[in-house]
Amino acid sequence: MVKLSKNNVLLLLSILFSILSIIFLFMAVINVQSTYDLVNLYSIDFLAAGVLCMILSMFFSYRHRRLLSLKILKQSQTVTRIRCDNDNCNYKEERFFQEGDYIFREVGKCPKCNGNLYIDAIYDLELKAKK
Amino acid sequence: MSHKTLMNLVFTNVHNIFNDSTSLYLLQLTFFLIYAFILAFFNQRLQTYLWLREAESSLKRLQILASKSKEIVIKKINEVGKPNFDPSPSIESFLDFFVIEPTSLDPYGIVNKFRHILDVRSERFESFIKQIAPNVPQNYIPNLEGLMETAIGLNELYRLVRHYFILGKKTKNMLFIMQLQMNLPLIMRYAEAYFSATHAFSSGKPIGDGVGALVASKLMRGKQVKRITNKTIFSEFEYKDRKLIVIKAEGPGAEIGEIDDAIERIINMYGGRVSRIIMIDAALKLEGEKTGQIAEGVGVAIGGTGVEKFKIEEIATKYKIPLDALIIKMSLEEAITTMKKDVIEAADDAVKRVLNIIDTRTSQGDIVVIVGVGNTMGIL
Ligand SMILES: [Zn+2]
Repeated sequence: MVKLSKNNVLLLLSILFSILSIIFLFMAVINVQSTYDLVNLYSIDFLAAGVLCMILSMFFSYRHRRLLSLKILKQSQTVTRIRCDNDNCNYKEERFFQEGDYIFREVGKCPKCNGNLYIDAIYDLELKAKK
Repeated sequence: MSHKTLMNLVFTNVHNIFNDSTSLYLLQLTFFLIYAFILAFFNQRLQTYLWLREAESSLKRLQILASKSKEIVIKKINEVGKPNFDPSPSIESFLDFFVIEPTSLDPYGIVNKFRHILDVRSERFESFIKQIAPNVPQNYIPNLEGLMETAIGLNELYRLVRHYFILGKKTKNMLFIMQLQMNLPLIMRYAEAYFSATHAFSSGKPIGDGVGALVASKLMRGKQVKRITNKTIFSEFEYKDRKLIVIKAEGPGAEIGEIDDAIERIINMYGGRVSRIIMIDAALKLEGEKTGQIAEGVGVAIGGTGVEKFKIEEIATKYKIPLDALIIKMSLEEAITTMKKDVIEAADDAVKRVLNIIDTRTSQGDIVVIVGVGNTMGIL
């Protein structure tokens, strides 16, 4: 079984309670309609249960969000783009940034034309923000 | 009552009250009075409480960011400096380092005073780095300085927010708490940006602010490069019968160079016969503007304390040299974190714009000085 971390448990609880609350509230509405009695016993029970579940669900989702906000966001990936010195050669290579890389650093020979390879750009990949 | 559950038992009494119309009325009246009371007297208390809770969670996050950045600094210093002692206590105490700006009561000569203090500051930083990281290679010192600076910035933000938070909690003064809560979104944005900057500085990646230096570097690539002042380089070459002199900080360490001194020296070298100065720098965009948008104007495009700006303006005025400014727009976060692709692409466009300015606004035989301003970390 997949090991659940604390925030996943919170998320699951929140989802579970929101589903339960929807079911209960739905039952409450159905009971009111079927008997045409506003002071219906079942209906009020279901309503109370639904509201309770909703509150619990909101509480867990709040805890979940707080836990997430306290976590350090994962660093985005930095890419190093390498080009060939030779203007006629369009050799291009992209790899992940390694420490010691800098723009216009010479990094060996071109496999296509044996020209000099250099780092042309270093930039952050735009990852979908995990906020 | 056929359906007997526990809940029914609990609610039976409530239902009995509802059945009586007089008690129902009384019940509603009581609820109304309670709500009115809460709204009238506890409204502010409740609001203050909510704001404080919000500030507290931000404060927690700030604390985490500040301590993580400190950890990164210590780890990096241990890694590259290899000190034979534990540098943490010295780093801890250096986090409170501050600079007192000169008084402006008597503004005469304030720029020189400011400059002097800034020189002392950078000297102090360098000697501190050398002291805690004795084996650090010379070209790595500026990166560690930058790293130290981001940690100091985060620490300062944390202490500031904590101050207002505790003040608000102690005094229960709505004004303090409101001020804090209203400013928090911006403060947190800065804090996150500073924290990402820590990562950039610890691995020596180019940052958005370096786009000016990148443009200069693209122009001087393949040409002979000489050092002109401490930490500043220049390259001199012919372009369409004009003499171009490109100046930038010396890379790939996190240097910003002594741009003002370099410009002064070049101009004096040619006896003031420079016909144009073109400066390229990163600038803060307004929200809604596109990152990497290039704008053209006149004046000295250089940020910071204004000390360098003053000196460049003075020498340009002395010889009546026109100043062109080319700025590349980005947000504060983008300026101090690893370069975005938009900015890299903007640098190529900026090179074309600079050459275009030279083609259209200078004539043959002119001497043109081009200055790439910014932190040249990760850019040769
Ligand atoms: Zn090639």
